[in-house]
Amino acid sequence: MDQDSKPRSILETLGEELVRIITPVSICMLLVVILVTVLNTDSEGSSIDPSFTTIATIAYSESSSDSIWDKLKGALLNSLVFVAVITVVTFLLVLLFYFRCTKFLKYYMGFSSFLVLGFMGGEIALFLIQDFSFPVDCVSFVLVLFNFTVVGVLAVFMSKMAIFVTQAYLVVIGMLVAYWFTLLPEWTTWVLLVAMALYDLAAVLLPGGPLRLLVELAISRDEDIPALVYEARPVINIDSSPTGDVLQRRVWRERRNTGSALDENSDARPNFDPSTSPVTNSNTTPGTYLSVGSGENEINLVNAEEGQVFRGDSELAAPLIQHRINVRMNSEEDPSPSENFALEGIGLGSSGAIKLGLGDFIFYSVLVGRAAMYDLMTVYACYLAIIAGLGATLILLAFCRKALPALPVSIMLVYEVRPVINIDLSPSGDVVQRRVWRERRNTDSALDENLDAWPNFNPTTSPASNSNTTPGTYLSVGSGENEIGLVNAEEGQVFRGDSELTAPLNKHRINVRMNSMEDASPSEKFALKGIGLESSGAIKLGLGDFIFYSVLVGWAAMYNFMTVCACYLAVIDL
Amino acid sequence: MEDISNPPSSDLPTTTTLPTATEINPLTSTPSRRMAGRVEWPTIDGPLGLSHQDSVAYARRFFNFGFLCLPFLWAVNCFYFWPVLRHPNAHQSHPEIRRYVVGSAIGFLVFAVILSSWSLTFMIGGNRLFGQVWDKLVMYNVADRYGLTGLI
Repeated sequence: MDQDSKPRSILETLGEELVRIITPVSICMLLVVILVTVLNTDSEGSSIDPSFTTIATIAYSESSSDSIWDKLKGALLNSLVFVAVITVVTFLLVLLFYFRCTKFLKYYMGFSSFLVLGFMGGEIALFLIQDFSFPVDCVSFVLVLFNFTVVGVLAVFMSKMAIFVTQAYLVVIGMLVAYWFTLLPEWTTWVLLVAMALYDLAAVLLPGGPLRLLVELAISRDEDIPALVYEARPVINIDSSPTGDVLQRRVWRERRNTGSALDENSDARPNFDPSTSPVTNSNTTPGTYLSVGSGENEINLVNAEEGQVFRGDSELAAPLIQHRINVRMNSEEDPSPSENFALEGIGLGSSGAIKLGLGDFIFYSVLVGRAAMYDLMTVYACYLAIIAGLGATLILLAFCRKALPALPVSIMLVYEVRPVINIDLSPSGDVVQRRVWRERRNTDSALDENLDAWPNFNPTTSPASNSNTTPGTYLSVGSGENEIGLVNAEEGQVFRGDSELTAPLNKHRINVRMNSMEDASPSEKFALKGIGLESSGAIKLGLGDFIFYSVLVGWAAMYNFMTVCACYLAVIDL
Repeated sequence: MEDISNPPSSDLPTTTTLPTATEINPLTSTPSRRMAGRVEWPTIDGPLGLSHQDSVAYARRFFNFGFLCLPFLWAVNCFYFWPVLRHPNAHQSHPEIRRYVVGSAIGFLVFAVILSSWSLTFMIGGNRLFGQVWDKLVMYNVADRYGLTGLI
């Protein structure tokens, strides 16, 4: 195995892993958007039954006649109540997990999925049947619904069901719950999303945060969390299991198990409280694992969410879902640190499986579903923002060996483009600076072409190159570093009028520096901090790129503002 | 359907060497078809799924539970143990698993035929065939009558 093909394979598998997480998230969002557009065509915006009370609207019931200030106050009140409930729920979860009520939690999980799939799914199916006047008889409808529900409960309940079936059912559950959330009043939804993102930040990063406690408990116990978590299929390294043993797909290297059952009194309406728990990191000592090889480190990222579903008069608390992103790292036995690519760790280890909690599915879908009530450009912009945030979080996960919340990045990106509500959330120090350019090379090429007055743009991407550095001090942090350079090359030409102006070509490179785990002292250094902090790097961006980006966004401005936002996000993603 | 196939050159790899970076992408790999026509893994998930010993218990459980008016569970059973159905003459394909899976397949087909025939007759026949009973049985009327859509 030569050096050149290794980074390519790593990048391929990295892309594969990312795609396997982003695909179900996108599918869930798409389904919610379809449901919202299909079922809400008759009513404008949010036509909420005044008697639609959930725990999220318990403090204030929004009506369209209120002033903006009243709506904002009411929404804030609602969100406060909601977040308070979620906090209590999470603490209860921690408590129950502390007392090892795992079996109870598993049954609870199954019961909650039964409710969601059976009742919510049935209601939405009835809505659809009524809207389309689909002439199905009640016998077949009940039979199909019963089958669907029971198999779904089995899929989330049993650990060894077909992966595809389990994944499909989790996406469906996320879609159903997200649709119900979109029925909340408008202002409440938007403020609630922000509140949940802030809660996520607080609960994960603060020392006393419930999610952090949960994570630490699970780590110390090395237990599995009985929760609804979407697991992506890992990319399997065939050579790593020569004996043909069954790979444990769900490697909960997380040492933490959280289970919680929450009983809450509510009125006759169902409500749903998701809470997000942190994304955590844990490092294991090197050792054999799944007969792969020696030496592996593991990064665990945990997003936990809890949700409750109440139906009827009974107090049913369906524990929500705990999300977890597991990132496994394989450190190779090769002594040269160049073999140690931390990016490999994003689920690229032989036993790695990326897990994403269902609450993230739900919140992303709620956001996009709510955006679907306005117009499609909003949907597109929000979708891009969410995917960008999710990708950034996943990559950040590989580097930061620390619990990180997953919601805030996406939601902050979305709120940067929301035209209706402008909530300025300045990024915290943990948020990765996505756009960091560090150039190593400047290539100038002048192309002379005769064209008409229209600019053209030829982006080319060059393959990622890898350079290995010998271990040494780096920014006085630690010893041993590896570097992965990802190169995006863009060549742009702008032609104005009859003259031929060629803008020098620019090569942009995102350098990611990573610290290997050989360091005895676990450094809290975020590898992504390395981006742009090197003393010798100067960030250069060719003027052609400036011009092109501005041209694109300027064109978009001729249509409407949402197009501008969407194009802006797309440009920034590049 | 993704199956993992072990490399044909399954010599015992020495544990001292690094595992080569050839990764088989489950999404793009071909169905498991070893040179000798053996079924390496009984489940569709390949090495991520069950072993042969566990599969028997699962297949049996799925098959028995399907009798509780759960033909979909039979379908899931067939889907899960697709390699067993697919390679009936495989060396490792346990006959016990195969018995349950084939039974599930037959049961699902029979049930699907019955249900679809009834459902299609209902849909297409409509009022003309059933008369008054049709309006009583059709789902949106039932939902209206019992107020099922107002529960949440």
